[in-house]
Amino acid sequence: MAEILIVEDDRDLNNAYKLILEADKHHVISAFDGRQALSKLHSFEPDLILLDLLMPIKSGVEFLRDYGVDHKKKRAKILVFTNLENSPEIDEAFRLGADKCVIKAWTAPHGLVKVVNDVLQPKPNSATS
Amino acid sequence: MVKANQDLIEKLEIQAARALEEKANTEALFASIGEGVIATDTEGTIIRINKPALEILGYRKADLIGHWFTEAVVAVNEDGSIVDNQLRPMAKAYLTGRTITERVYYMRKDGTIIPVLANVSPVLMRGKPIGAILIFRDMSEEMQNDRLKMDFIGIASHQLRTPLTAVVTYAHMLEENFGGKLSDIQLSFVNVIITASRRMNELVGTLLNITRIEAGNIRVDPKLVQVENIVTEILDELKPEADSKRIKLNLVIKTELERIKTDKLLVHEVFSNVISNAIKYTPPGGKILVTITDRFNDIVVSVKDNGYGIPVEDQRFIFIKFFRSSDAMKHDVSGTGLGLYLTKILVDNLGGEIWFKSLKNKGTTFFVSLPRSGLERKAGQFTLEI
Repeated sequence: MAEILIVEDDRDLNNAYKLILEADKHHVISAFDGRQALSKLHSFEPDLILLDLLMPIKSGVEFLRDYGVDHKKKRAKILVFTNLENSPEIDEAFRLGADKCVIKAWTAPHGLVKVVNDVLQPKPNSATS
Repeated sequence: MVKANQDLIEKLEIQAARALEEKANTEALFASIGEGVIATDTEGTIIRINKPALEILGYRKADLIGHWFTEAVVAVNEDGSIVDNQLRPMAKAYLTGRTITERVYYMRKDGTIIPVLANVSPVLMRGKPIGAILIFRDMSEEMQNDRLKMDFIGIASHQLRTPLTAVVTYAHMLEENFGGKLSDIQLSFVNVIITASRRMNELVGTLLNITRIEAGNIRVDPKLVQVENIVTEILDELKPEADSKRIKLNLVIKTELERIKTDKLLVHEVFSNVISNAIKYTPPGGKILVTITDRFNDIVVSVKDNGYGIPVEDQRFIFIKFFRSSDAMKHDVSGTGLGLYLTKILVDNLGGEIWFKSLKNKGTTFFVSLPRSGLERKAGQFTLEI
């Protein structure tokens, strides 16, 4: 069981990921934009952040920039979950420390569970796109 | 004798009047062309320039006439760096003897940079170049419109994809029994939702790609690649689709393997479209043969199927946007009428050609050629959405 923060502005998707990951016995907290995510991190230290990139108020990339500066305690694994493909935002997210990027439109529940557990494994060189 | 001289003088006077009239006509024609026109001599010195050209570039006639074109009219890249003289359309036209059409950026007299579409033709006399004519127009407004269109399409496609992702995700949750166990019939309905949503998602991606390519906004990033490797990768990706129809996929290589400088992503999309089309339009149990061969300075990949074929009356339309063959609809093959159009414009961007031969109920062979000489890098805001 891991502590997971979902950062996704679409409420339906956010809720779906929460249901799927809770069914896999993870403890999940939701945020709906990057700013809300940063504020949740004051009281919650997740093992993994499931991060959308295109969000209002504070995007995923902007969140990562601030997360790198503000959060020195324990660094969570970052799993980028986006529908952007071949985009500069993804390169930037990796530069800012993302561990893996997955296209969300094609990921079925068992796929999400698998990728989350893969990223949580303490393996070096697990960052692939 | 006097009479003969008088006749000669009269003849000469008539010829001189005709020459003057012709010169006046040429001047009037030159001045009345709505686009910018600059003529140079063999040395590349500007010998003539019309009013629209002066207006676009912000110069006076005296600033340019008699000056070397490449020095007087500075061409820059999108990033503001100066374009090498040898790479400018004027030099290319002069060196190749062919007409060159390219989008370039010129620096105006006041230092501002404007995009123009330049068309340069060498002026030939008895086969030898004696100068060049440049016709160009200001593209600023068109590019601004393109940018707005891009922004709109980009936002619209993201907005379309977000709810679609929710549809697919929840359908998958039903499929994986998150809402309780489904009956077989319920499961089959859920699978229809998933398949249709994926098709819709692909359509959004295709429309986005087409819009970007049509606006000349797709990045071409050539690297050394082996075409055989790309084709093998695609055959592996499409194997499950072929297997589900018991279609055999075979690859034959009839050329020495060599690496060419081309854009892997674009080439992958081209062959993926052509081979997946062959699978779609071939009945179960059919055969598809992919051959890699060469022709003069090109590598040619052919994809031969023994499928439905394209009816003769439809053959000249198949690369047209949204065209769907009557036969394709009769055989109930899903499609948007965009695949071959997209493939064609991608092949154009790769400097290649695409053609086919087809016999109804016997099958179709598509051929795609790619230049061995490789491609030049092309800056663009976007890469392809796959």
